[in-house]
Amino acid sequence: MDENKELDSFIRKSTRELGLEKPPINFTDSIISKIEAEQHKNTAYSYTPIFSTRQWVAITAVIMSVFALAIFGNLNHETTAIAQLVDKILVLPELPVFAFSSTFTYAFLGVGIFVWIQIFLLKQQFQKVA
Amino acid sequence: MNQPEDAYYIKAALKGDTKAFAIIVDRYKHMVFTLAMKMVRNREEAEEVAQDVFFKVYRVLSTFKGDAKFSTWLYKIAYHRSLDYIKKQKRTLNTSAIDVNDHYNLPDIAYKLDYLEVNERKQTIKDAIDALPEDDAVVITLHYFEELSLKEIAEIMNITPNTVKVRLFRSRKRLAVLLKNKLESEILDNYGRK
Repeated sequence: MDENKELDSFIRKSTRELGLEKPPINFTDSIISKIEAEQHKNTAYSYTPIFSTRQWVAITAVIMSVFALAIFGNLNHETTAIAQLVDKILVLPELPVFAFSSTFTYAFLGVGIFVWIQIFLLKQQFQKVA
Repeated sequence: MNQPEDAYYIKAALKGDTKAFAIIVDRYKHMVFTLAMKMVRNREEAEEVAQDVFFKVYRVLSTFKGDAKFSTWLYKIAYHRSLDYIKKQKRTLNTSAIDVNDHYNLPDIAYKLDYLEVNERKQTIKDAIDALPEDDAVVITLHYFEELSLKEIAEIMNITPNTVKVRLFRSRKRLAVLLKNKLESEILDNYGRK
């Protein structure tokens, strides 16, 4: 135990005399200029999407609602204003009646969720690599 | 070099103030560079790794939550960045061939070191530390040069404080054996020259 303590204080004394390694004189300048160059590059070529996330959500919601109404709405095409609007937007004469089984609906939703998760994870992965 | 001062410059750097970040770099560059040197064992490569560390730190500075010391967080990045560099170069960490049970006489080593000129003494100690396996050299550097606690070293190297304690104990003994061997060979060399 004593020997260990002696060795500890001997190494402490020896290393104090030695000091740390010295990086090159221009070390800090070189890092800062690299950072500034990166900042400049980012502002010069900054990516701004045409549609923001909120706008994409709104667009998707509208499209999904229109399709949902057209397919599942069971609308009276002569009287309902929404039905007439749907007809105008889709410009389709008369959609055939779709009947999806529950299995298909759940499978479709499941696949959709997995695709969405993958997009999210891949995006994170690419951001990490970059 | 206390916490509030680091926090002040970190806050400024997060707002894009590169001058504030330059102060942080100046404050820690010696230790980061020393750690990289102990790991990659080459001055040019260590410079590349150390620059890469600070560049990365600037990019991820917003993820520093302040629950640990900034230096511990920074040295952790430096240590793991060096490990990644070694892996990328398809190199492996050295293992020690020095037996910790080898006999050494501490008063004799101290006496022989005192007998050397200052520069010669510094070089002998430096050579002995550099001859240690990378992880041993890092433990010695963090504990004796930066005076970090076992817990802080454990946090940096992702090991338990107990493992650090054992590693430090062995590293000290290996360093003593290396110093003994180096001093003996130097004395033989000097004797041969005469």
